[in-house]
Amino acid sequence: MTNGRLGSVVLEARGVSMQFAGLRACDDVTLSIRTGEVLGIVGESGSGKSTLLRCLGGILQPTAGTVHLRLAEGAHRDLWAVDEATRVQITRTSIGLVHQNPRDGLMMDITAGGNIVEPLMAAGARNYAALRATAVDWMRRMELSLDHIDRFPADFSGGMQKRLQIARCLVTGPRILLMDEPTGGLDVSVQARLLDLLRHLVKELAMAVIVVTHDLAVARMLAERLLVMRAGQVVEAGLADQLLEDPQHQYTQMLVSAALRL
Amino acid sequence: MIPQSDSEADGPGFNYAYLDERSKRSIRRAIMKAVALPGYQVPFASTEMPLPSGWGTGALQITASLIGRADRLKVIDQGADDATNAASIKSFFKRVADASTTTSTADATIIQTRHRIPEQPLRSDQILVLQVPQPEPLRRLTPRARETQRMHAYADYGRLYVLLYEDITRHREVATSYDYPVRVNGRYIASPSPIPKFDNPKMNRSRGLALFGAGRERRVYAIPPLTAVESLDFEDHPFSVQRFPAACSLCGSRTSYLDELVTGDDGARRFVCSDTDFCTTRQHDRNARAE
Repeated sequence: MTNGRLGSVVLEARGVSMQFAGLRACDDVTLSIRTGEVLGIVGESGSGKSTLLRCLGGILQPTAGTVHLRLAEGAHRDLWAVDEATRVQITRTSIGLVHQNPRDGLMMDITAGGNIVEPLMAAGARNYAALRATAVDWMRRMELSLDHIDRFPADFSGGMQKRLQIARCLVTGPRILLMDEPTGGLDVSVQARLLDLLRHLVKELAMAVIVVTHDLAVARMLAERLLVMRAGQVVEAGLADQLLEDPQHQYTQMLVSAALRL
Repeated sequence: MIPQSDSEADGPGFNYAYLDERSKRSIRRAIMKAVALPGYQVPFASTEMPLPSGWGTGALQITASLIGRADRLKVIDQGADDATNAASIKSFFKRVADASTTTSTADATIIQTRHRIPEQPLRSDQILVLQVPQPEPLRRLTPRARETQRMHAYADYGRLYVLLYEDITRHREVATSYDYPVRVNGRYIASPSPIPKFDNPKMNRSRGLALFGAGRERRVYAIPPLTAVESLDFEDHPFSVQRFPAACSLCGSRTSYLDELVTGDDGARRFVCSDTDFCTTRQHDRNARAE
């Protein structure tokens, strides 16, 4: 793979560990990602994928390790070394996190349009007409019908909720998008459309994307580079095609051979 | 040592203005902190008062901790001096503080109020004490106190603007007409208590000190004199107050907040000032001029 189109390093995590009471959910994970790159994190349920994502996204403080982020103005910040106010500010503007469960990422009793533009209002946008235009624009880009802009996400299908959540995350133009199981709970045809949409977005918007999934097909379709996690540790890392065609680690071999094929 | 009771106590087991001096001091400390942090909700040790919570026990405690023998107290409920709530609070302070009371806004030094701010602008020697049932403007967004505190701490008020967005989307205007949230001194967002939004502009750079007491929720907050108070709005949907289709049928005022009265089975209606003192003063002046 050529690195010609890749930009500078956006996020660099070193030695990230997360110790819960009797469980080491993440163990000394080190990774970095550049602008325009899509990194997939795969592994079975409970392997620490989501925990890692929450540590990178500024939601869960890791027990050890650093998460460095390069902001738009070129400054480097250690997400877990800055004070909470700065961290809130950074996560609000520079990181988009798509939750596995839409209820964690959306306000269910607020209309779709309100959900999309809320991050902008939190950042200080105070012009209704402009906000409305932005909401319409993102509904369109997410292939959501404009008839739904004033409806509540609770009435949306799973796929629509996912797309709405992605729109809400992208509206501030984050440097990095973190997605937890973007296709989880969706049927195959809806999955395919969402993947298509995501691939377009990644190309269009210059940002780094980390996708956590247990679905190897999704990982292969979206990501150029993969990390394989097991019991909190990264057991194998490499280019997606290479890693899936010729898995080196025993666990990866098991994972690949266990994947369903039609 | 803080004295347990006022030196001129009216007998054993009783202290001037109902509360003992230590309780008054603790409330005054909370008030001082509230004045230092305009719009910030300061917790205080709200005690039982001989009034159901929700009837103004917070404001009652503030008034009790402030009132002295030289004060003149005015109490209003929905603008009226003779409403049940106002009348009982007034008679309470007559009894426990031997307070001189007045219905005149101009003569009062302390004005305890529920649901209205007097039409006549306050002077710097007057204190407005407002009764607040729900001091947390973010409560309608989330029931979790920890979360609202965090939002206040980081001035994370985006979700409050979402409510305005939703109103404009649904009704083409902001439909909230009372308890309309305000930003105090460019920082904390506070509830102005359930006054009509008509009264919000009166708080901006008012000369009088405004104190807010929530007894059940155990919070006091303040808007110090001459503090900037802005009501939340969008650039292209500026904040506006209610307008009335008529003048007051008693005093002819077109600038005051009016109550609509239905006067007959045929739907006939008329409008009168909600602030009774303002209205009677105007009528009095008009009659005096006529003579």
